[in-house]
Amino acid sequence: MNVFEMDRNFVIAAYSVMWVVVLGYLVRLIRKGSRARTDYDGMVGANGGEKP
Amino acid sequence: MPDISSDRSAATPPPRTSVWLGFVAFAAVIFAQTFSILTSPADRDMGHLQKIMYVHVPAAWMTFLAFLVVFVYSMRYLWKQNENDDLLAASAAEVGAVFNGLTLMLGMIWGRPAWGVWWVWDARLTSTLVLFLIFVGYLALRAFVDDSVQRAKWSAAVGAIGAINVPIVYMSVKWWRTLHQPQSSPGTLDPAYTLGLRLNAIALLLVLIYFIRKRYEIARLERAIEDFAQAAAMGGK
Amino acid sequence: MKKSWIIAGAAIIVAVFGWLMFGGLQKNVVFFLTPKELLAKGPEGVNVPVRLGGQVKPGSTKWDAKTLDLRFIVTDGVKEMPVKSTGAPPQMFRDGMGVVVEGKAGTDGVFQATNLMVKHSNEYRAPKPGQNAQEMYKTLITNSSK
Repeated sequence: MNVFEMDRNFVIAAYSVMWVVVLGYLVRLIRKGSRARTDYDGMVGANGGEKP
Repeated sequence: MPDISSDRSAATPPPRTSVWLGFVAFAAVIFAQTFSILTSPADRDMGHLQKIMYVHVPAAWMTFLAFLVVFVYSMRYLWKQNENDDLLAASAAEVGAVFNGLTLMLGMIWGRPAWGVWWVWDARLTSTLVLFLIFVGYLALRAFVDDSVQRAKWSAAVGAIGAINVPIVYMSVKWWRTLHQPQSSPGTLDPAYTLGLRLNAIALLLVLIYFIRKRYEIARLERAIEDFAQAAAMGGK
Repeated sequence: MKKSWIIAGAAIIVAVFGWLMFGGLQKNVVFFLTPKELLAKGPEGVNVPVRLGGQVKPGSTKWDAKTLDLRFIVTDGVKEMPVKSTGAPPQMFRDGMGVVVEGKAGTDGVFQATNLMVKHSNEYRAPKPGQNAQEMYKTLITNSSK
């Protein structure tokens, strides 16, 4: 393969890696965040709205 | 019942991270990348490979900024012993590890076609890998130590001392002879690329801020949940 | 008690850093030698694995596409050294470009490269109007393979 046709593939690979990593981390944060928020709200509710 | 929150300032409820900050940050990244890819001409030496600069260089800058946050809040923790500072430093460390890993991967993808090799053990690449190991070591230490006060103190020490590697990474290309090129300056960067690079840096900065805030919110929530559980265990006796 | 733990942790980190900076990294802190430095070593610089860095002397490149034999001269502006390499050159290889080659200097004064890397400068330039970014490389390949 011509080396210049490889250029495009490396650029596409770089941007793909960037989006996979960033979106992967975003999804992780959102999932973890909503779980923690639910647990927290549940505990505040069980505690009669009182925070520790 | 002992007042377990007396040595913490967890009295304020965990903060909520604005969803809009996330939307704006990711919209900014999409805009900046589209703009820079569409407007930048191929570099006379490396052709379209230059476009990797728009993600690799800002990712490296965000790594430095994240460690700056770790450093500042580690020092502040050591000074004031406020647990929230510890949680914020830890949040920045996790986000920093993500950006540091990204910097390394993107650099390798650029290096293969540009240099002819994926990796070399020159001072810049080695010190950047060491920085990644410090981030990972910091996070591993936190997972390893159970006592929250011990954990906070130890990791604050790592965060404060480990930060000396940041200027080493930054200056490595000036201090030592490396394969990695030195920093570009406005003088060595064609004006056609400057605006794109700056836009991408601003966009990724918004992502960095959003990630750290969101991670900090989770850390605070988890801490509050632990406090509830502890209070319940003590109250049930 | 707590303080001694912090000090112990700090000592370990400092020790690792010390090792990296002065031990493990030492070899690679100077990532390559220039032709002047390598030639100054005299016989000690011959037949030992080393990295040589400098510029590709303009007009010195000879590339045989059939045998994949690549020859060029690396210069640091003071001294120069002929290099023999095999395999297709990396994309950005061209006259005047910075390169780092891994290999050994032979007794005949020719550096036998096992690995060729291009060192990019920190300059990023758009091609001048009418100039195609990648044409230059193609010209090098076609010209020298004739």
